Amino acid sequence: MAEDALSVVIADDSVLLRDGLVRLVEDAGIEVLAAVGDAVQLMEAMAIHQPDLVVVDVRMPPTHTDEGLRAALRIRQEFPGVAVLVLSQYVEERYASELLAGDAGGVGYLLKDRVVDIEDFVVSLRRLAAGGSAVDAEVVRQILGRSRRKAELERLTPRERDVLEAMAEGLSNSGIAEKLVISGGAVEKHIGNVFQKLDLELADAAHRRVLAVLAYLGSASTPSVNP
Amino acid sequence: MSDTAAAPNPTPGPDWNNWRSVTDWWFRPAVEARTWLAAAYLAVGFLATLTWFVVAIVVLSVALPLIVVAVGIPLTWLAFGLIDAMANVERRRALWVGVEIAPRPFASTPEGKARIWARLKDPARWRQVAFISSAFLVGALFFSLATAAWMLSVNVIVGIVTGATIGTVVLQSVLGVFMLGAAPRTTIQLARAFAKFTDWFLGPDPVIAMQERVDTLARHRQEILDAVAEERRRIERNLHDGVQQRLVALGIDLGLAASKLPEDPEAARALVVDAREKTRTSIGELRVIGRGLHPAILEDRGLDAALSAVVSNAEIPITLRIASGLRVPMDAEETAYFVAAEAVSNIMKHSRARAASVHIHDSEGCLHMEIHDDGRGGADMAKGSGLAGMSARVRGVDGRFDMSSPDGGPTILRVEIPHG
Repeated sequence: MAEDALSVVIADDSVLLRDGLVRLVEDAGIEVLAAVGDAVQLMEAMAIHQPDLVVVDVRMPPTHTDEGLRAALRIRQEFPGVAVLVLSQYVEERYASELLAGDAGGVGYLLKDRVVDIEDFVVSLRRLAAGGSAVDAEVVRQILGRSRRKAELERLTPRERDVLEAMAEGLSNSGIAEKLVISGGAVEKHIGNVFQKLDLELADAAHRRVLAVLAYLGSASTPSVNP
Repeated sequence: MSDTAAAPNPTPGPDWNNWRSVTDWWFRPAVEARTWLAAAYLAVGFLATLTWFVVAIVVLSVALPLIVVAVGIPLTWLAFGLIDAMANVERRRALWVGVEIAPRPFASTPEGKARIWARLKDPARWRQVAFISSAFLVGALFFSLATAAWMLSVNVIVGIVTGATIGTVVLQSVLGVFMLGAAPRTTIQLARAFAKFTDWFLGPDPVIAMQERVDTLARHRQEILDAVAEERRRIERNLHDGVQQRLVALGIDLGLAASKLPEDPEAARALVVDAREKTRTSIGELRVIGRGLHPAILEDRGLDAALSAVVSNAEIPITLRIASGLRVPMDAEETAYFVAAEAVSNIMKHSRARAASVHIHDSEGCLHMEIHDDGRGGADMAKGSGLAGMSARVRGVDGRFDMSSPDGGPTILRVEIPHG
C-alpha cells in the first residue's frame, strides 16, 4: 500500500482507547496532530491543525449522547476537505443516515471494535482520506433488515448480495475482490448484475455507489423511514 | 365521582367590544342541549325521588316490624333490593349532567344467620335509605328554584303584555332579558349540585377509595422492586456466563502465548489470534447487554430511532409503525422502549413467529402500543419470560398491560403508557 504521509486528529474521552488509537495509527505511519477528550477541544484542535482525517467517538462529555456525531457534521460543513470517521460502541441506522445524508465521500461510521482488526481499520482510514467511505457492516445489516425491497433483493444470488453489502460498506472494486476472494473481473460482473437486477443507475465512484445503494435500500436519502 | 362533561363554566367569555358576541354568549345556554338535560334531570328527579320515598317508606314500615316473625326477613330483603335498585337509577341519572358515580360497595356478608344481621347493620345500605328519605326534599327545593328562575325570565313577555306603565314594561323587560341568560346557568348549577348530593350519599367513600389506591400503589411498588431485582439477577447471569468466562479464557490464551513465545512463536501467534477473536465476541456481547439496558440514542433521537434498530436487528421481518420524531417524557419513552425491546426478544426466543409488528401512537397524553406476532401463542405471565417484569414496569407508571396469547397464536400485546 502506498504510504502517503497522512495526518489525523483523534477525539475520544476514554484515555485508554485514545492512547490505543494513537499507538495504532502511529504504527501505521499516520501522523497524530492532536488527541483530545471532547468535542470542544476537537473544534479547537481543528482551528489550529489541518489534518487529512478526524477520528471521533460518538459519545463524549458533557451529555454522553451524540456530541461526536454533531462535531463530525460541523467538521464536514466547515472543513469540507477533511475526512471524518465516527466511531461508536453502538451503531445506529439513524446516526448513519444523518451522517451520510447528501454525500458519503470522506465519511465513515464504524463500530469501535473494528479497530481490533488493525489491517482492515487502517485500510478504511486510508480509503476515507482518499475521499472514499466506510459504513459499518452492522449498519448495512440493519438497513437491509428494515428494507422494504425484500422482493427485489430476492432476485439477487447470494454472491451478488455479498457484493451489494460490500458496496454499501464503501469498498472499492479491488477491496470487494480482496474481501470476497474473487477476481476483479468477477466483481465487475456481479456489480453489473446487481445494478441491473435492482434497476439502478450505475454509479462510477465507490462513495457515490454507497449512497445509491443505501438510498435504494431506503435509508440514507431520508433520515426517517417508516413502513 | 368524576366529571366527564359539562364544565361548570358554560361558554368561553365573550368579546366585550362586540355586542353580538356578548348577547350570543349570554343567551346561547338557553338553547343548548345540556341546559335542557339539566332541567329534565331536576324535573324527573323531583318526581322520581318522591316516588322512591313513598315506595321505600311503605315497604320498610311493613317489613321491619315483621322481622321478629320470619316473614319479615324476605320482605326486608325485598325492601333493600328495591332501595338498591332506586339508588342505581339515581346513580345512572347523574350521567345526564355528566357526573359519573361509581357504586358504594356493600360490606361483605358472612354465611348463615349472621348474614341477616350483617346486612341489617351495613352502613352503606342505611346510607341509601337516608338518601331516599332526604332526596325528595332536596329534589323539590332545587326543582322549585329552577322553576322560579325560568318563571322570572318569562317576565319579558308578561311585563310587555300586562305592563301598566312604561316604567314597569322597561323594568320587567330588563329583568326578563337578564333572567333568560341567568336561568339556564342556575339550572345547570342546581342539577350539578343535586348530582353531587347524590354522589355524597351513593358514591364510594373517598377515604376507602384512597385506601384502595394506596394498596394498589404499594402492590405496584413491590412488583417494580421485584422486577428490578430480577433484572439485576439476569444481567449478572449474562455477564457471568458470557463476558466473564470469555475474559478468563482470554487471559489463559495470552498467558500461554507469553510462555510459548520464545520457543514456539507460531503457536503463540495462533493463541494471540484466538485471543483477539474472544475479545471481539466479548465486545459484541457487552454491546448487546448495554444497549438493552439503555440505548443512548433513545435520549437524543427518541423512540422511533431507538426501536428501528431493535426491529432491524431481529431475524424475522418486524414492521415498526410510529410517528417519526415523536417525543414524549423520558419515563414514558424508557418504559415503551423497554416493553417493545423485551417483547421483540420474547418473540425471537419463544414464539416461532414468521412476522411481527410494533405499532405505537400517541394520543391524549398516552402512548398506545400494540405488538403483534403470528407465532404459536401460549405466552403465560406466570411462566417468567420477562412478562411479569414488563407488566410491573407498565403498571408502575399507571399504565395498562393486556396480553392475549391463545395456544396456536397469535400473540397480541396491548400497552398504554400515560405521560404528562
